[in-house]
Amino acid sequence: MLPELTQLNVKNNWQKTHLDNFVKMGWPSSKNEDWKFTSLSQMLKKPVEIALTAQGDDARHKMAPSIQGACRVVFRNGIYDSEMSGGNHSNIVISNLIEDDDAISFLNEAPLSHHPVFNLTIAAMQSAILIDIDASKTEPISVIDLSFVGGLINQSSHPLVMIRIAKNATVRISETHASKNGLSAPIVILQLDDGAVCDHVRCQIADLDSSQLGLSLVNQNTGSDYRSFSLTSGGDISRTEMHLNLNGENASCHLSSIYLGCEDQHMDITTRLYHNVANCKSEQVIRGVLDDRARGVFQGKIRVAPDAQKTDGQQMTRALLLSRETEADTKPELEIFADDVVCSHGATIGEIDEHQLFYLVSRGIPVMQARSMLIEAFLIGTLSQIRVPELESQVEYYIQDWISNSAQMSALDY
Amino acid sequence: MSILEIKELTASVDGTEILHGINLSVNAGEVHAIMGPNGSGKSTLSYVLSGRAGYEITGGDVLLNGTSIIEAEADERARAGLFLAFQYPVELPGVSGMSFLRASVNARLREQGKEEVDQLGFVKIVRAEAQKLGISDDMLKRAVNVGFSGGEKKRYEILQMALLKPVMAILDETDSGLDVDALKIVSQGVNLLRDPQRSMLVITHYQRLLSYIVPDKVHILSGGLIVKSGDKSLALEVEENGYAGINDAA
Repeated sequence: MLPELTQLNVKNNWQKTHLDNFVKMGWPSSKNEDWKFTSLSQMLKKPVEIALTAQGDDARHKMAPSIQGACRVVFRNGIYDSEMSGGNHSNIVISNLIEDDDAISFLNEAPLSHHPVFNLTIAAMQSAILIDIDASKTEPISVIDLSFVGGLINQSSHPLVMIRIAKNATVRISETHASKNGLSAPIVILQLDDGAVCDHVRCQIADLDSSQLGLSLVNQNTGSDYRSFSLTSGGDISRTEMHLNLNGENASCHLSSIYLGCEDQHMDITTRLYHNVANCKSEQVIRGVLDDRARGVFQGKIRVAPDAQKTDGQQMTRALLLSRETEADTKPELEIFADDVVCSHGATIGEIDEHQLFYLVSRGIPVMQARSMLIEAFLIGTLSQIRVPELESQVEYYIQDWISNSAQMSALDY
Repeated sequence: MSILEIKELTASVDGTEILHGINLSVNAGEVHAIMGPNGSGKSTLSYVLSGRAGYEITGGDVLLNGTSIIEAEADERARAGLFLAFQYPVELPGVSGMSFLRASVNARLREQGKEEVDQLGFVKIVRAEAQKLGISDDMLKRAVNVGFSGGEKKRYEILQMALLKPVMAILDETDSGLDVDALKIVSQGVNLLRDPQRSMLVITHYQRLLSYIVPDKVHILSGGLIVKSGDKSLALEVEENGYAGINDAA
């Protein structure tokens, strides 16, 4: 699924640099440690072209979890759609990223020049949107990325969004990625200035015919508080990758993530957490449910810099396997260069507990319903980390739907 | 008429026969006790009757209200009115107590062709029953059995029995892990549920429980067979002479 790059009309030199980087390095093979568990070879067999038009209906738009009354930033096939975008935004400034020198410097200086998705999307993007949140209180923001819902096939989309949250500003963000086929490689960048607070809910609910390689970059300054929840459930192959830098003291982040895989899906959750300064706190909770022949990967790196004393970094990942043909791979990595830190990681992989199942069934609850109750119970603690109630209920509804579909499919096997 | 009839029941676990031909008949409204030493097959019997996976019936039959249940799944047996109070109730983190109770009760009501209860009405019913067993609102709000003490877990079992209104209840070592006060509360709860339309099978090691829940009949299970049956005085005999004495007599 290597996009045809020769036709790409790259206007800016800095974009050209990223294009050159990408061409030089190409897609990573599984010999690359960062991509050891996720092979792109199947995906690369299907040729795609970079999408240049925003055609397509908006039916999926209504399905996507979003916040009512939010300021909407809508991309279709990676192209900003000003007609579908809008809504209230009294203290939010939306502009073209390419016209902002600071934003461009940020991209050029980001330590990601080796990253295939970063290079490719910066080179291939058709729209790059910059959102500035200046005031302490603003409306929520919904970033909606819809791709190839209107019949286009064999294309790739590369939306890029940068959100800068000013000092002491508070904002809620929902981010949804839905596509029908092709390749989506969106980049979302968040910068939290001193004391900024951000609640972020990301949902990737693409169809099984599409491939999703999402990259998020979060930078946090002093005293900022970032709380994110991410749901990954779509795509034949998907990677949800986040790089988070704690750059100012007393910053804290809480990342929770649920992935739901069925059929032959491959989903990869990768986090890179950099404690660059002292006195920061990070917590990661990952829960995955895999059915049929699905494969789930979690790679979580926590790096604590030599001066980052009093770091508190926690990571816990659990996978629930519903079928004997599923596979879960977990790779926690702690790189600790400071000596006064509290860091931990834990990983479990298991099946539905037979004792628990029998307890429910012995009360007359049908087996499939009992199974669903236990799967939901496995996820509920992570779901309740969402601090935006209306998004929590939408995500919960989506998850219940997924579980009941999985139960129906299993019932057919009986 | 017999509510529960066990005929020549043989059963295996992992290919090893544990029950070697049990015969037992419990009439409507009767409470029978099954006593026996460790490893005699008491818990196996309770799991076999309730249909737990891995407990394979190899011969004989079990009739509930005159209908054979050995081909029925565990949930179907429960909906037909069979109830097992667990020796070790399982914790279900993340499963809300109220929704669990309601799912159970509604499954049984659906089976009986009755209307399901709504959330509000159900909370009232549960509170009333919980009060009788000294179960606090806080306990009802927690996840199923999570953070409950041993006594609280057993009371929660009896609460489920009160709500599900079974025709046949099996109480598997309900006295284990209970102090005297908790034993009294649980026994009172069970006695409140004694009814001409409800039979019970009380499985226990000790006579102690049977001073609170007085049985109509007592059976001694040993080596996978019922070796002796009698009235409540048989329990006292066990207390005095131990199981060895009974086995010798048999």
